[in-house]
Amino acid sequence: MKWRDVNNMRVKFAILPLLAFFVWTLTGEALAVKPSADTCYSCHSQLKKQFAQKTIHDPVGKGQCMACHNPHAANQDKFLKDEINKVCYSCHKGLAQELGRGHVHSVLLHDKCTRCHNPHASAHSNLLAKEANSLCLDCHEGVKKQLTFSYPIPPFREKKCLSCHQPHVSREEGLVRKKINRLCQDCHGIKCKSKGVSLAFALQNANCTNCHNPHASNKKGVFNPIAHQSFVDQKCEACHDTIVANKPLTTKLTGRTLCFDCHGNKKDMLSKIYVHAGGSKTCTTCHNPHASQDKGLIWKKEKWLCISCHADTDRREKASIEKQKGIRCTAIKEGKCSHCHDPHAANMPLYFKGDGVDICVSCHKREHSVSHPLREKSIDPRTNQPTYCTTCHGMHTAENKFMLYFDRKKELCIECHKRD
Amino acid sequence: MALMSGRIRLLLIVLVLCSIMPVFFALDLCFAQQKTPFALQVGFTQMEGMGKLKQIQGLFWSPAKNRLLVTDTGNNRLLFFGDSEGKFRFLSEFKSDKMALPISAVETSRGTIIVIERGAQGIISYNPETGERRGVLADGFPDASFFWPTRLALDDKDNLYVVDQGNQRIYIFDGNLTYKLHINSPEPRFTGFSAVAVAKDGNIIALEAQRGIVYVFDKEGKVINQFSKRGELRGETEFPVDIAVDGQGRIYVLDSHRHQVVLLDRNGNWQGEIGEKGWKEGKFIFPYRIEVASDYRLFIVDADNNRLQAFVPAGRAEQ
Repeated sequence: MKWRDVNNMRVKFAILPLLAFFVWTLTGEALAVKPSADTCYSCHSQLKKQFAQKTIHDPVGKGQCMACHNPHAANQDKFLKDEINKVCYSCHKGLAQELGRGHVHSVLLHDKCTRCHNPHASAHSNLLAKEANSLCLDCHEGVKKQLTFSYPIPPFREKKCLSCHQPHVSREEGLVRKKINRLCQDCHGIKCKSKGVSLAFALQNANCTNCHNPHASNKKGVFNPIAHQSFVDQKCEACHDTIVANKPLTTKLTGRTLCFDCHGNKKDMLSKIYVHAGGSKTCTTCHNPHASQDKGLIWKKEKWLCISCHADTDRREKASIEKQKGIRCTAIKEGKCSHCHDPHAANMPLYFKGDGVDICVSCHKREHSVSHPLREKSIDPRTNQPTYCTTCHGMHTAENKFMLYFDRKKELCIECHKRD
Repeated sequence: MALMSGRIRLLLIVLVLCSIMPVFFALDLCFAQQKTPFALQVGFTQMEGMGKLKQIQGLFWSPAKNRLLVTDTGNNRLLFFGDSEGKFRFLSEFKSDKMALPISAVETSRGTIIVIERGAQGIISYNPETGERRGVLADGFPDASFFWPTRLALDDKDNLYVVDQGNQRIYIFDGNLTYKLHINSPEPRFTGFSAVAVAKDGNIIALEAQRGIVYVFDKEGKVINQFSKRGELRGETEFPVDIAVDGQGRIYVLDSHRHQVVLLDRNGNWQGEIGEKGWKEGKFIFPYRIEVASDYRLFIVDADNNRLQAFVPAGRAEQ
């Protein structure tokens, strides 16, 4: 029934006040008179002085303290209306939308906006807590160390991080502003040569960081520190057919046979039960054949390399760490997957380097000397299998303290030790 | 006023909750039914006369012989299981001195056993009656320089399907082990087949584990459908390791990291999930292999618990 069909005036008169009451109750808070910033400054007088800086956050300048704070009560520290990042995104909506569209600065995902920005006022542009570039290097200590290397690239030497990187989100890995080859070629051409033949024809679309360090190196040519010996010696012909300008680059042998030609001892791995990536025909899925920043000539840091396929394990691990409020296992904390797992092949499930005791004992010698009986000395009644460290501890997924599958104060022991 | 608005909000919340509660109950009931379509028949790590299982790498249900062939890799042997006196039992063992790390095996209707042996890095055929052992598939198919067989499947006409992860292909051989054709990468971003199963209608169901995609090929190797991917949503899998297909064409995708089976219909529509993480019988920790018998019984290798579990459709269990 539509409003115009309600002929009975008495009904209309009854409904209208009710509607008015609802509107009043729901909007009353919004319409309430808000105190001005002066009311706040009457007590927080020192803040007014602190806020008198070069860059002032817009709401602060306009005296709108309550844009972010609740004057009476809050569930958040500093009387914030919501979690700090949500408060920021409530105005900076564009940034919030961008977060789902590419690579995101980990601070935005796991920390607060205030890690880099001062929410009120700052002596630096963009309300930054420090001058932009030194702010970056405060956290990225590994990169900071590279400032001492013999061959820094000019923007890095001048600490102009933002000339190549986006601070928040980028479509490109490493938060770089554009595809890495274009970014490099914006400043300089391709200088790579093999026996006098320019390789520019082959490297137009290559990722320069495959061989070069994007910041600095102690090697001339800003090459990555770990390099294949033939590459260091510029003996391209060790693996490649003779390189001819404008002709596709080819290798002397194909796939893993090329690698096994020198690394013959690695062939044994093909005879194991579990072979990573199902005996893929190429080693270059994980290994960079030229120069890498990481030991073993892997494409990226071990953890990131593994996660690129095993993202679900990383997600579970993060949830587990969050529930446990931190963990102590260094292999997991430092992303050293190969401490426990053999990255090539194994005869143990999950590519374990030993059984579910050996691997743990390699670090936890003391704990092992006083532990619950293990292996054949203790059979798990749930499965009739020998007990290993991994019977109770789940390295990537357990949610209880000490990486236990069950709470040691309530459930853990009685999983097996039940009263008959 | 604040108190009044609080009360009204509370009232509104209660009203909303009351209106959606029946929906939740209905959904819960619906999910509960789809969560447990199978009941445990038996779970074991050893049976009388066979010793302990050690790292099972392959399962094959032989419809001709009506028995399950288990590749007991860690013990370098093959085991047969079947129904006897109304119970699922260990039947016999097949062993050869030269057998080296068998990882997948099938049994033809004529009784020939075909095995992928990691130690031999190839495919071996055994005649259990004469004990004859011979390497097969040495030639006859194109460009096999990286031939790396990982899984076998067999259809009801004894055609053999071989997953070659080295060349990212599936080879198909006839009953005389003569090469017929092969299935190549279905698309440019393809990362390789991990498992294969053959449906009753002859369609070939293959899993690309790295991207979680299930492909359906016709008998000629032409892609006729593809579905699912890696993810957390319904019908997706986080770490698929194996597939199986039943007589009705339903596809079982084994998700090792989620410790369960995702059940899809022949078109890839989500039908339900089977199992959950756990140590007790009927649950799994990192399940690794799956097979469906012709009577719709489900066999699952519960790898981390080192046991084999058999499940029957829930309706049958009640009978």
